[in-house]
Amino acid sequence: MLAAARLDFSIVREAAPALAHGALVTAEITAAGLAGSLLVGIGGAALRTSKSRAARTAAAAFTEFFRNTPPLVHIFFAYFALPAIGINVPGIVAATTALILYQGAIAIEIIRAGLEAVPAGQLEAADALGLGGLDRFRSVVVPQALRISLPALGNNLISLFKNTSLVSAIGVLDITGVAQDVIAQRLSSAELYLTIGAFYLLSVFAFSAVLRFVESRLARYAT
Amino acid sequence: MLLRPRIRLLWTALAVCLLAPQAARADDSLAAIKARGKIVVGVKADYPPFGFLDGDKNVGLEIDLLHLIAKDLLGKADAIEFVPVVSANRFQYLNTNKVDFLFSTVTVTDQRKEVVDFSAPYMKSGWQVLIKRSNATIHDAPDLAGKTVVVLPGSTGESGLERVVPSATLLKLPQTSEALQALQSGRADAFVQDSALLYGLVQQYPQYKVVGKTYDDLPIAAACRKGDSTPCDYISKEIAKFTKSGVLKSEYRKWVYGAAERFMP
Amino acid sequence: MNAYLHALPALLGRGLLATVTISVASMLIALVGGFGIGLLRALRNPLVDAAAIAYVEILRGIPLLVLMFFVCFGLPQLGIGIDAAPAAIVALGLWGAANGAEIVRGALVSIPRGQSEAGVALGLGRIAVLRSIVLPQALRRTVAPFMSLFTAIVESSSLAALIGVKEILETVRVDIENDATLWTPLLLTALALYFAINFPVSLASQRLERKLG
Repeated sequence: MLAAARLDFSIVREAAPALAHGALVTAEITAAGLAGSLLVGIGGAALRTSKSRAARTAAAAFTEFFRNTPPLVHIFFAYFALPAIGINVPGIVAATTALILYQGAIAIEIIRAGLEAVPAGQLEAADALGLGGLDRFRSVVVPQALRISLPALGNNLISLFKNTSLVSAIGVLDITGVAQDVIAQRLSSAELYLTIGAFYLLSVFAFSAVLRFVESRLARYAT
Repeated sequence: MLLRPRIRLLWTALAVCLLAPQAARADDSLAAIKARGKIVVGVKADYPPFGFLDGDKNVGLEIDLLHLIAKDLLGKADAIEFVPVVSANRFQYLNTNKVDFLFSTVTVTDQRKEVVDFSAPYMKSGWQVLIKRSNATIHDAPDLAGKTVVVLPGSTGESGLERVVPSATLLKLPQTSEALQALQSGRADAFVQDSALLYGLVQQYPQYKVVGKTYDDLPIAAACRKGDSTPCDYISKEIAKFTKSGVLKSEYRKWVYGAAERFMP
Repeated sequence: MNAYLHALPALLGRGLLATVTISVASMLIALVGGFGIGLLRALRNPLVDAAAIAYVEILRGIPLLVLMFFVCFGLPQLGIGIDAAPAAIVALGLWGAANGAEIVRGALVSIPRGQSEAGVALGLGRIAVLRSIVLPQALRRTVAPFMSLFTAIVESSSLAALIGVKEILETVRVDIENDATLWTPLLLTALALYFAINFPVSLASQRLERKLG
């Protein structure tokens, strides 16, 4: 049985340049995904708390639909179904957009909870200072809501980072895609999975450490 | 701190290895098949007319041959479990014992002979280029220079195209239906795969056409785990029998009509 | 339209059944594993704690897809053979258990210290305090999060398609059978199925959380 444990890491060494390139793609998708999902999150949360019933319902429908369905299926839909109505984009664009919408829907809920958690006293103080609706939202409510939501948003980012691996399903060459490409030509796979597993794990540890640092810094400004 | 979890995993893996019954890494899969009373074989489910689906049923030339083999080996033509595989994962399925052998249009190459054992060939095919019928600019593989071509990962079309037209951009999608969609939507200018598959596709989808000459015309055979070739040896004997009795020829005429000579070994 | 109706039974029958089976089986592992680890940690043994933390951190630090591939194709290389569907359940279960452990830990931690201290003051041992004071209250607080975990498991079951398990997504991919016009209707149907399973659970979970404040 011990003889069956054949690990040959030379495969990983050979594939190192391709894997590095894949890691870069993973980073790009994560960065774009983070920016996009935050925009969707803030915009959607604003709609969710708006006075207009139509806006609230539309945002709620969007959120509930995307949160309760699998991101992998969104990716397949964006890539294989959209061309039927003329939306024909490269794999990486389709997959990143799908992830932005999915993680964005989750962010909407997080930020909405954060918005509702901003103490009423803050809103009143802003009013007293003469800040109008949008100004008050932009300079008082949003920053505080984001600080309150930071831990959950951090988790959402980590979730996004791990979900980038799903783009490999439509042939995008992120680090998981590269690993699968190499494996399709060879037979061993344990070495590659262990290697990219280590990449994700170490990256998540780093993210978490940075997040904890940022949280502790921001805690100083808590009211 | 990071070392601990790794060691823990290793200990767990070793413990399970030692305690678990020997995973069927048998050196005689043929005996295992007979003992089980059923063949578990990896087949193509999207490769007309050799291995594809008719509703829920697996049908095709390879499937028919497998039924005949099951009848001879186990007495029942239906004693088979068909496990659908694609080029991207079939060797993984074979080597992780999820199937007894592969009967899924596996092309025999020297590189593959190093990692699997093959039976005698029952088919042959090279690869060609599939394009939309409306495309008038591509006539052969060299015309694909600088273009985007969709291929199936792990296929001879992929490695062949990399060799013959290194400047082509490869789009790799694991399933034929996905590759066709890429071609249809214009994401790829062409689809490169086995002539035998392309032949089957244009029968069903007249909006495509096959162009250019056939590259890498190579035999196709059943694949077994290295060092465990008993199923493949049996299959070789069966193929010889079918060839001699004319059964193979009639199967080809049934599924491939006039093009039998192109794909018969 | 014909082709769509032809493909529908497999999707609503076999595919849906496989998704539900995988999800329920993995959820059971997640519940048992999650409570097992969570309660073990409550015993405050440093060695057990370290092992539990390592397990949770690793399982939550790698993508579920990579874990599934590793269980299905990597483990056999190390001598542990496993079929695709069990591999999906094992991977999902292990991942679910890690998340479950965090849910249980969060619930236990949320019970005010005063409760346990009162129990100790009354002469109850640590385990008795856990069993009769902390646990009943904590249990209630795990219900909504575990319901959310279930929806996450249902969504993640779609990854099993990528190791060849014939659940909803893979059934769609196979039923397409080279007919590109089927992508939109079949994927929409698949999305509707997932939504139909998850939305009620998600609603109930949200209502519960609001009730418990």
